[in-house]
Amino acid sequence: MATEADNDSEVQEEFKPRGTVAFAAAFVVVLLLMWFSIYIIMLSRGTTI
Amino acid sequence: MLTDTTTTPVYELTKPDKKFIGWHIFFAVTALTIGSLFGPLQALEHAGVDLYPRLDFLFVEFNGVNSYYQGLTLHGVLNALIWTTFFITGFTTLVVIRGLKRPLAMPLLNRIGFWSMVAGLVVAAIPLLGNKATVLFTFYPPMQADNLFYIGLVLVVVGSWIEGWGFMLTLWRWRKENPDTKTPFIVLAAVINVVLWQVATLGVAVEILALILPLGFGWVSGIDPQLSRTFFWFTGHPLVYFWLLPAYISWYGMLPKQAGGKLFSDSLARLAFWLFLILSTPLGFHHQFVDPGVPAGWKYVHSLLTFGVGFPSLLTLFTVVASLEYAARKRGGKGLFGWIRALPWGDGSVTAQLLAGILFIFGGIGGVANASYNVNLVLHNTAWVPGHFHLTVASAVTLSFFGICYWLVPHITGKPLWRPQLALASSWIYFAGMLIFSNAMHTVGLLGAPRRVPLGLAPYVPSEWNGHLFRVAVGGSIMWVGLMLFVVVVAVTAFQRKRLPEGEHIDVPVAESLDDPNKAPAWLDRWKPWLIAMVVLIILAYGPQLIDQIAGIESTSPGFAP
Repeated sequence: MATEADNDSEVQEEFKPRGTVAFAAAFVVVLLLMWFSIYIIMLSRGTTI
Repeated sequence: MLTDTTTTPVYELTKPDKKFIGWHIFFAVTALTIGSLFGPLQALEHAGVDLYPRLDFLFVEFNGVNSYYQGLTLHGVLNALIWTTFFITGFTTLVVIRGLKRPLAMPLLNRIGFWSMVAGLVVAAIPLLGNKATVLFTFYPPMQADNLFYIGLVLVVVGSWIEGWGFMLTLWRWRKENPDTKTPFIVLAAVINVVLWQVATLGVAVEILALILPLGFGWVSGIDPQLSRTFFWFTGHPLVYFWLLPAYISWYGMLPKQAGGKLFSDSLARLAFWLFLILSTPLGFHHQFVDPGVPAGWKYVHSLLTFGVGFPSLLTLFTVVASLEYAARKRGGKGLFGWIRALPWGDGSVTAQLLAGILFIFGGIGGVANASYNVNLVLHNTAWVPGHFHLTVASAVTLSFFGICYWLVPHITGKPLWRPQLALASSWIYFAGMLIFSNAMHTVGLLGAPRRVPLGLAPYVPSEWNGHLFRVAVGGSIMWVGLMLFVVVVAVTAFQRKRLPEGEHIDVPVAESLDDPNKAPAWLDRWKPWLIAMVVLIILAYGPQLIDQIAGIESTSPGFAP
């Protein structure tokens, strides 16, 4: 019968943070979208000299 | 179940230690409670509901709370400066003692520091409540408050320094006693934050002692606002990291344990904290992008360095989320994002910190826009800015501190958390309020609404702002309800008669690491190279400009009391 410790080491050995990589990628995409939306606002206001 | 209970304590803090930490939390939560009373008042004012004239009964001995700006000053000082500093010094006390498994090296030193902070709070509160220090929490000269306000702030900062010396001395003693053992991560991180604070606050110390108080005492007839602002923001930005790093300590070193997992990488965690130490200070000019007295070249340098601090922030995002993913997979979580559902969302302490992290994602994105020299011009001095820092100090920091309190107060009092479901509700309500409030503030800021203005009185508010200002009022009021629930839960927990069953106690959740901390590179446990790097970078980034501004000082602006 598998013990909790066996289960722990199994998860530990198999663990690849795929969800984290996807999460970080989504973060970067949202960041870029939001940054460029403000950049476009800036451009739309034109020069203010 | 809210937190682990165990019958075999790992290490017990002494009763005086717990009482000492409890005093920190008491003053912190009291400041937060009073300071937050003014939050919804400001938000409602923006929607045209001005309740300030009805507040004359408050603090009547001190002439009442009379204006939007007095309320805003109390809100900023009590929440951003007092709640945070008192909580952080108390939490650091717990982390150092528990992490090193030894008492403080000189408890008297820490007690002197703490009571100096309390004395400073009382001294500063007198002019604040008397409407003689209505200069907002940034107290930009030539605005001039009563001298007691500055003296009180100096006492708070010096007190926190003294407590910091106590922590550094304790770690130094422990390293002497344990020369071959790596410093436990949570302690290393906490003392890095202490050192960061000692260095960062030199700016505001010089500003107050060399520029503001000489004007206040009449020794000089004017002040240089530009130089004052430069010294202020030398402290002002690393101040944000002084607030954030204790939350990160919990996210890296405690939350994984609470969620049923482990810290993904001890080495990455240490590296991130060292990078925060060297990169947090030399970037203050990104708060001064529209200041005329700072050359554009130096603003670019500080803008680039601000993007540099984005690197340890991304390390933090990756490591903390990976630690949570590991915990969730252990709990049976599946899928690319489905594992998120397997986290213990029923635990009030964990949920508060998870929600803090979610809000902070948007705070981080907004921070990148703030740091961009060109894009910043769209947002500078607009309502976007308070919208942004409510996602950092009022969400990532404050909501994480709520979560920490939900195990810390039971730990130090030996009493069970009162109504765990209310604790859980408080975080969700606060989160919902913050989503509405911060979104509205960011949006109305992009439309051009200025910050620090009682918009309810402004004749130029266009109709397209009205819906957003209404959402500011609704969100701000909901946040206040969530915050008050937190205060009630913590206060009743601390003062109730009910105690934990005999032999049972709430332990400090310290996470193990997936990798062996003893295999971490030795340079991640050495102070000298990082301290040298920090000093060199500060000299390079600030030295030439400080020499220039000090050499060209123009103390020509007479002070005025608003």
